[in-house]
Amino acid sequence: MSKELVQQQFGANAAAYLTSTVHAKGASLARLVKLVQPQGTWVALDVATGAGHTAAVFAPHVAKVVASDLTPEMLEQVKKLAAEKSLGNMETAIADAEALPFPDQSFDLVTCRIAPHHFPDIAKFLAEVRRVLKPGGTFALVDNVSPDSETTPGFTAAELSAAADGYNAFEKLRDPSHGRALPTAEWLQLMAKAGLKLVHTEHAPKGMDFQSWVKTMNVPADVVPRLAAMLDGASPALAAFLKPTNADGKRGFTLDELIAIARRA
Amino acid sequence: MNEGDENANDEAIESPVSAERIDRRLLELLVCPITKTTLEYDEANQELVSRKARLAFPIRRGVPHLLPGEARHLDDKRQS
Repeated sequence: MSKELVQQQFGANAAAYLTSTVHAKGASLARLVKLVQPQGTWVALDVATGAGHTAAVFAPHVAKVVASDLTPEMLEQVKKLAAEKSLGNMETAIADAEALPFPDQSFDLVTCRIAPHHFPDIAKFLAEVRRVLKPGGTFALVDNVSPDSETTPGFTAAELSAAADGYNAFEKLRDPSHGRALPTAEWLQLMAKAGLKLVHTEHAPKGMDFQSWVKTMNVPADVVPRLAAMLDGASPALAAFLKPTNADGKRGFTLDELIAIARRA
Repeated sequence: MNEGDENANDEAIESPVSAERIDRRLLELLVCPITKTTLEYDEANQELVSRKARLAFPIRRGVPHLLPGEARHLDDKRQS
């Protein structure tokens, strides 16, 4: 059900993701390459590649990148991007992040950027990541997280849990295919459980322009004021996390990206 | 089952839309998403066949679609 929603949402808005500055030029993209230090012999997999920005940024550094996604229209954008940048070592496949069509121990690097908040079963996804990684292989994750004591200190667990629900509701209203952005602690727990040993984490705050955020997903006109009202009416914990601004009628807020690098034992 | 050793270059020349064809190097990297066993490339039908799962996954515009929901059951008739 939610996977069909993902295909619908991204099928309809695929082109917007090729040009989305957050996805194409997000600071976390260059940072990710720096942290991962890809090698020329590596075979890499980018899961839920979207318009292929992460795959394309790694492609010049490795032997081959497979870019997989649930949505055919997104992979059309990937092909366009690969052609534009003359990247001959990018391959595409339609695949489900929770049932990857790749053999055990076949990749040196698996990346997944700003996507798992759409996945219904993150534990299953991580088990698949571990399976397809070679021993010692690297998993590089970037995803929007929901607030917890790490991103938003000074609040009670109950306040933070309500703020996390509020944040996910805000995302879901804008994009019905949004599943759940996990809080940082839950990510780290699930990765450890999957046998992925954490080697580095950091947070990258990401300033968002409300109008462009709404536009990328082609939000219906009647939903836009409801989203604005959610920002205005945010609880103190949610406001401390989203840091909403409203100057000269121009709204903004801040999202938090977790960057985590792990190795398969 | 596809017989291995055709010359990839010849193929590219013969094909009117080579960009739309699946890359053989990618085929080597793919397995059945359910059973994780090897797939057979059915070039004529543009399908990847998992004998173990008894499913045929379509290749559309050169891109393999390896979603169980999109696969044809091997006991079903092909629609074309």
